[in-house]
Amino acid sequence: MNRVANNFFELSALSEPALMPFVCGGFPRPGATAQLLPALERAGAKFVEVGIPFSDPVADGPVIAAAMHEALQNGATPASVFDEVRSIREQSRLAIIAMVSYSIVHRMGGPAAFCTKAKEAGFDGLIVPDIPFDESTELQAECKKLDLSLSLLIAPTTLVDRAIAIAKACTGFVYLLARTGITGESGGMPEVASRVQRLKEHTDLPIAVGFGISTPEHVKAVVSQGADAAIVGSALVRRMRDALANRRDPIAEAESFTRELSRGLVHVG
Amino acid sequence: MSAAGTPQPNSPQASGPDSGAVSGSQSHAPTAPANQPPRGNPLQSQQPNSNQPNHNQQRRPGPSSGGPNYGPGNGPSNGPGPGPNGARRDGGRDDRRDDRRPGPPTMEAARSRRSDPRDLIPAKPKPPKLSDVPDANGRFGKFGGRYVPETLYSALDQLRATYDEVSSDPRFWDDLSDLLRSFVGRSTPLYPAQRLTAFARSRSQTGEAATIWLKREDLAHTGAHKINNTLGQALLTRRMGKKRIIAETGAGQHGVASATAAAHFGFECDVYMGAEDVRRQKLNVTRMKLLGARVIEVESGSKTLKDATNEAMRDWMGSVEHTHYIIGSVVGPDPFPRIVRDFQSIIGRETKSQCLRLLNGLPAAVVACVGGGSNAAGIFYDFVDDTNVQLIGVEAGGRGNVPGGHAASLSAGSPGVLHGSLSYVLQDQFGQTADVHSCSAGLDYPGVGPEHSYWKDAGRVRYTAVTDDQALDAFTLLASTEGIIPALETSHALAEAVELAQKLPKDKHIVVCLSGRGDKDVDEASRLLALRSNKSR
Ligand SMILES: Cc1ncc(COP(=O)(O)O)c(C=O)c1O
Repeated sequence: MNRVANNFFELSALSEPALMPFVCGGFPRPGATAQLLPALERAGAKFVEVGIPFSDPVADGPVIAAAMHEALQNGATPASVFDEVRSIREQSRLAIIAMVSYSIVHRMGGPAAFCTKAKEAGFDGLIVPDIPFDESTELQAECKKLDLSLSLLIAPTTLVDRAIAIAKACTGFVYLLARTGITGESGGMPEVASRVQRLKEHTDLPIAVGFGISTPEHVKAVVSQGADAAIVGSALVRRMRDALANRRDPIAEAESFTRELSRGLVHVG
Repeated sequence: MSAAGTPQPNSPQASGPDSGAVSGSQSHAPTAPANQPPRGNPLQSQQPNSNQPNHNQQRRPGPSSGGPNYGPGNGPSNGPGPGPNGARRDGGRDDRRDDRRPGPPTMEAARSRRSDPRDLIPAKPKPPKLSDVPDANGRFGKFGGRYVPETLYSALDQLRATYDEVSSDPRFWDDLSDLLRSFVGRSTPLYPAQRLTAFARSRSQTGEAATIWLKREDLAHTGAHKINNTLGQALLTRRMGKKRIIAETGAGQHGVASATAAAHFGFECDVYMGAEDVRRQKLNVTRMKLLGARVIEVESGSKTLKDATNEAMRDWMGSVEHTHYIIGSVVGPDPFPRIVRDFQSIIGRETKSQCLRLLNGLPAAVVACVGGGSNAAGIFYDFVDDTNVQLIGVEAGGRGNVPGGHAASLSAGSPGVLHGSLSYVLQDQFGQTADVHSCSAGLDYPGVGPEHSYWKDAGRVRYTAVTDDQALDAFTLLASTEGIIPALETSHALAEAVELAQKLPKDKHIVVCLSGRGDKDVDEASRLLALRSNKSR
């Protein structure tokens, strides 16, 4: 069984929602990802999203975009991020999901070639934030062939029928955007209950909610609104940067912040 | 020429530009611009300044007419819009072409074509034309498409639906025509550059050179072709009920044109501009602010056009429900490349009918600079199916063919996805966008519109590159030989045209799209020229 499906299955048996931390591959330094993944696992995470750094991430706000630019400047490439994941794959039960721009997928030979390389590196699934459902047929087919999960995005601007069609094309989990706009920390409480409920009438897949989820309170809000997982990116990346600026260990900081966020995970059963 | 193409007796200018024509007699040249109606005078809009008032009714049958066609500057006959009336060698069947032409509707046109009973007569299916793109998925061959986050999808759908709707609404095109005439000052003249041509002849090994003609988009209101697109998209914005527009800009011309359209329609307007471009195109920053726009300086990445485009897209991700993003070139996700091309194709339609009138035929070559590719697509589009006309797109060769030293996406790039579509991109082996350089802010961009990629792979358009130095030379050359200071972007096309002219016999004609005026560039060009003369000393 694919690890994404397996880990969600194990949690659902316990009626437990999940936390899905996002980290930027190759940030804050080369080699950091191979240390971060075990640290996040120690903190209780069952899933991690690893962003493949891209020069022009239009769905990302300043925190993640800057992390990507730094990683690239420090020499990170998709190949180097794959290597870091590969180096810890054997010893980890994490479901590791690549968040990757279609620009990279295309340039690395298209869906078939890219998916093969990602699978071989030890990734369990893909999120491609800048491809809409309509352009994703080939990607869907390749992911299915290689047993990689593929989570397509559903936005607040997505019309209902379309959202249902997208959910049906997903495997592993559905990625529901908490808000219109780019990634970044947010002050307001996420409001996703009605959209989660509606989707649940049409799909049995777990629903993960992301964009703007920044605090344990936000995590608690989305899971109590019915989401199966909360995705936290910018808040985590910023904490690592702050730690670095204050000469603290960014890896330890990520671990402790992930524990803190996990307190927002309440039983939903 | 068809009847529609003959000079109209009721035109005050009929004897002007039309008379001397063919090799461009000295006498008529200066009169063309002088005959322009005063630009920006709203009173003009209701007057028969189109010098062909009767045409007004006939010439725009619904969807087919893409825009204004009369040419106050160059005589009446330059034509009825979309279909280069009078322009076609297939004379009496102009109206059929109208179905397919002007800007708008590929789909609509196909439909209305089908319902045309005349189409039932010839049984032979016509071979597909190179101009019949994009397809229903926004593809120009394999290029184009819609690579955007889901968040933007519904806005693109709304835009597509709105555009398809207006494609069959003559009122929309009438409104646009009126604006282009009375507010922009269209049509723009086709001007024979006698002394520039003489310069080319003096350089030529054979002593011969083709005559160089300038399509004077620099005389359009705000000083560049960009206004053709922003007014069209502003009308779409109003249709969609949105009240705020955003734009990216490099040279600042698209920013100024967007701010101008926003002022005209009463929209709120935010323009994203790289910090480096804010420095080197200061005049346009001042203009945008005067026009009431907010200029948002972008400090990320190379601080130029690509980064400004990223920020505009990020803004749109959060504002899409009430904001329209007026993309400034034939780039971006479907339907932008098609919409911008259609709005800019007025340049080529006018050019073609002006050529037929002034040259009694088509030019040997049409040359345009290529940043994102909108002025080039605009002037090329009506010639794409005329395969005896050479089309040449000129990219920024910067400091030469070294990584990061140029912005020649088509000449040196590879197919990739940037800013929403698949097209030629300057990128590394992993799809990371490469650094680029050009002295010209409007060409300093690592991507290009997907239709250009299609034309390149089809072998229809030849793409070449001109260096910073060559462009600067052409910049001063045009100023001193013709009394026209061109934009640095345009200077790239001029440099190529002067070279090309020398390879052609003197009875041939080359049209250059003079995409913009160079006021914005005088400081930066002076700085670069001074640097250069210091170096050579
Ligand atoms: C005068 C002028 N010409 C050309 C360009 C390049 O754009 P495009 O290739 O879309 O015509 C610009 C862009 O700013 C411009 O201002």
